[in-house]
Amino acid sequence: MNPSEALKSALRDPNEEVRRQAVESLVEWPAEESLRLLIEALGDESWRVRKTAIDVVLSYPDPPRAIDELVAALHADENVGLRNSAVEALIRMGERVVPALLKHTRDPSHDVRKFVIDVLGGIGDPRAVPALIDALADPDDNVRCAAAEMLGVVGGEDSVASLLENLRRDDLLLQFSSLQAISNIGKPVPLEEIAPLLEKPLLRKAVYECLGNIPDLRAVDLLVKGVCDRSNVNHEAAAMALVNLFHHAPTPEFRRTLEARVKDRIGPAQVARLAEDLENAPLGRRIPIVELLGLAADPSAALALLEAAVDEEVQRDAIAALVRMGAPAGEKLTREFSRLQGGRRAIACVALGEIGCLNAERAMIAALEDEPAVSAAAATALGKLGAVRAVKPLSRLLEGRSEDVQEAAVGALVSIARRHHAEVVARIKPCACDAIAVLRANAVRILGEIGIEEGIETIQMAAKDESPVVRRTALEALGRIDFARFEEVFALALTDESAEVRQLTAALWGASHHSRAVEELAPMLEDEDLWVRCAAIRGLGESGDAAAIGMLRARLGADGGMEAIAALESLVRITGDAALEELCKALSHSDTEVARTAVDLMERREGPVTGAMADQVADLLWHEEAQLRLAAARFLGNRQVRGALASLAARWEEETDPEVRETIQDSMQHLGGSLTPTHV
Amino acid sequence: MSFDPNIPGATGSSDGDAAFRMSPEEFRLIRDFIQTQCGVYFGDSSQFILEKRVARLLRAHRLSNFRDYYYYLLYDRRKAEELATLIDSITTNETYFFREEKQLKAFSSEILPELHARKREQGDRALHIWSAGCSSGEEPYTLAMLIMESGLFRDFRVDIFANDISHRMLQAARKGIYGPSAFRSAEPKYIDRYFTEKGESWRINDDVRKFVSFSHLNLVERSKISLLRTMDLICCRNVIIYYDLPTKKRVIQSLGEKLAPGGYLLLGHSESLINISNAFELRHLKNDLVYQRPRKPDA
Repeated sequence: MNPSEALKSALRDPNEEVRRQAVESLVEWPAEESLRLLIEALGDESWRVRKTAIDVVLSYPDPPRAIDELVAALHADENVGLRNSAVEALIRMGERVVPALLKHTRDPSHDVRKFVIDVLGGIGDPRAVPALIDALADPDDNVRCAAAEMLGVVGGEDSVASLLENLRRDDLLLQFSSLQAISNIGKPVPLEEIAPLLEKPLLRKAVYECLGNIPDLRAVDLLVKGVCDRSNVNHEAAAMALVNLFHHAPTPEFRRTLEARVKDRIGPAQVARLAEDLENAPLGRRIPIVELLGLAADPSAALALLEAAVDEEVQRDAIAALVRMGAPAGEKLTREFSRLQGGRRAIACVALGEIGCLNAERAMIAALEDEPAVSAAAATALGKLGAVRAVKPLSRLLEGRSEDVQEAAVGALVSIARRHHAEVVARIKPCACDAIAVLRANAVRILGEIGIEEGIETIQMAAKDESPVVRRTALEALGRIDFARFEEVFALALTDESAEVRQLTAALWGASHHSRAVEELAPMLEDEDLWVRCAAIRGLGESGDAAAIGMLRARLGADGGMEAIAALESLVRITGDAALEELCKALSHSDTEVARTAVDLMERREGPVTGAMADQVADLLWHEEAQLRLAAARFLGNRQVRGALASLAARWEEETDPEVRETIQDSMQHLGGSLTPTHV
Repeated sequence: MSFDPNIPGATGSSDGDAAFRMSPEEFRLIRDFIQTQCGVYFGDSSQFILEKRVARLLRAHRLSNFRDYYYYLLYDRRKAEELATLIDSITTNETYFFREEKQLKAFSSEILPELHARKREQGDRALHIWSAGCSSGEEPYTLAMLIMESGLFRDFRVDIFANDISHRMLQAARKGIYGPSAFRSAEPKYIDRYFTEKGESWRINDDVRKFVSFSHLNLVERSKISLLRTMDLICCRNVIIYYDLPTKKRVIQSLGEKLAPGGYLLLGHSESLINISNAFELRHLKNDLVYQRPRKPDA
């Protein structure tokens, strides 16, 4: 049997896998022979075979011919699978099929016309809009409705006028599709055109959705009424639309009026209904409901919002809604606080702090003894409340059980100090001499954040503390206050016995841009600790001082990749594009991470890509490390190295790593190349 | 620093040490390593001391011989940490407050007034002192107390820089809490004035601590020493005796380079600079002999 006959035989094989593989092999066949067979395979009884046929036809080397055949396949009344596959293939082919499809919008077959409209909508190309508008007048109902629907997908404000005309026709399905399209397009339409359609119950949902795009207070009134609609579907649509109007309000005044009308007219019954919706609604609808409850500002919904806030995805909006409700919600939460459990208590603390509910102070102070999550939230809330009575209990948390609680206590005390710094300083200063190191460190942090002169002596003493943690904290604080004032302290800290302290100090010197930074950091390049050396290298880079260039160049040859990477990045930071020679050299560093960093830095450079640079990077496409090949492929695409197209194509042939293959493909497309059939 | 022969095991009589015998080759390797790292030199007669000190570390790491320990120091990823531990274990730092009374009397009654007068004349209001090899801090705190007692430098900025190579000693110095043996030479008035009782110990007060800053510095590392400011007085007592001659010379040269013209160098009462350095003049003060850098610039 000759190969051609063998192929045809395989395509008819009763075993679907044999057929599927035969379809896959069609990529190797001459285009002339394979297209007919591919089209036939699109109608195969097995969905796996049809799917493979779609994949193969997408890479057919003569797209116009393929398109013609696919459009012709839309006429295959007898083979639903073929027609659907043709639709899918045409949609996936994208914009290039649009001109051919537009020729068939007046096909004698209404089914074909509908498929063509579905495909045009699926592609979403605005060139289809005029044809879709014409199709609104199609004699066939389905075609008209599909045209209306697809206009909503493709968009185009030009079509709105025609869609509005459809609303005047007594065709419920057409009116519905047109309303949906108008809503999807989002352009405001005259209220008078759509409001009367509220008389038709089946259209109400779609009308409400359109009203959500009309920044007109009359629309607000209609929607507020719609929230009271007995039908859940309509009630929900009106609620979503109201929230949409709120977000897209044309002026602050409109927004305020909308809010006032919602607050005024959405009563307890509707609030209860919305709260009930909240429990069952999917995520996409939960957030608008939460927002509407916030606008309604009825404190009876506070607990429902608290409950909703347990879900992290809704939490932020639910808390914002509680804050919008303001003091009444705060009072409600305070009254209920003792009955709340676990996560709800913590969320309530957050909300009370944000609302600024001073009456909650006592409950928050008691909650400091609660489990860590609640304790931390209560601490933060007390900070926001500026609760000076909380200073003492908060200070007890500074050596607390969990870091989160300590962190929250530190933040709270710093916040409280903004209004009551004398009380906070009086309480915290003695803690800097406590026996427990973490308490001393936290006290120093607070004094540092407060930044007043009377705390500075304490911080300076802490820089000599026996605990390296306390010394680090003190140095950070002094660095924030005024590096230059304490430069002698920082000079000394470079000789600290703790590597962590030296590391921090090196970083601070770099960030200080002090005139002595290079001089002080230079000896740190020989520190015994790798991290300190790296911090010194980065510090030199951050100093921006050209005097550091020679030192950084010397570190490029460091055995350790980390130092070489730090040196490379620092050198580029100081010299910018002038570091080209060093970058090129680093491409052949024995540590592939260094080479990869060099490629990334080259990619970010502003200067042009030289021929030598391009060649060196292209060579990396053959490196044994996949990450390096990936970086090289990305560089060649992003930096538009057209001369590398052949190298990319050649590598694609042999590349086995899927991520690298994908990157090569993307880069080639970026460069205007494409994969030939042999590359599929 | 000093070696304490009273440490258990120092005479080789403790259990478990019998298994660890350091061969001459191993002694040479580890001795040379220590000397390179921190300048401390163990003469041939000190082999048994080194053996006892390092044997403890072998047990801690479950190593069976000194050569393996040597390789641990060279190649293990925790070698930096181990070096710090080794230094802590070979340096037993016997010191106390107000050690060497005569020299301290010279310091407070002769050197401080001279420095004060000179600085007043120059319009200089800063006093910089370096306690090189400060151990657990008794020496720099002693100097601070004497300066405060003199009353001469109340309107001066006083900085006492103190360094040691032992992490353990630096930690103790920063903590500033001392037991009774540290006060064997201290007059009660100093304890009353400058310490706060903490059970059976005493903590140095903050008004003394604020003058003293501690640092981890190896005196053989010239690059780090070059970062220090110029000093008016350097105290380096009973430190260089543990270095070999070339190292002594290098260290003294580094110290000299950091001393201001006319600045003082105080060594241990049994130490001298003969055969080590000609850069200093020997001053015969009433209470003691001290070294001084010439006031005129070196030729």
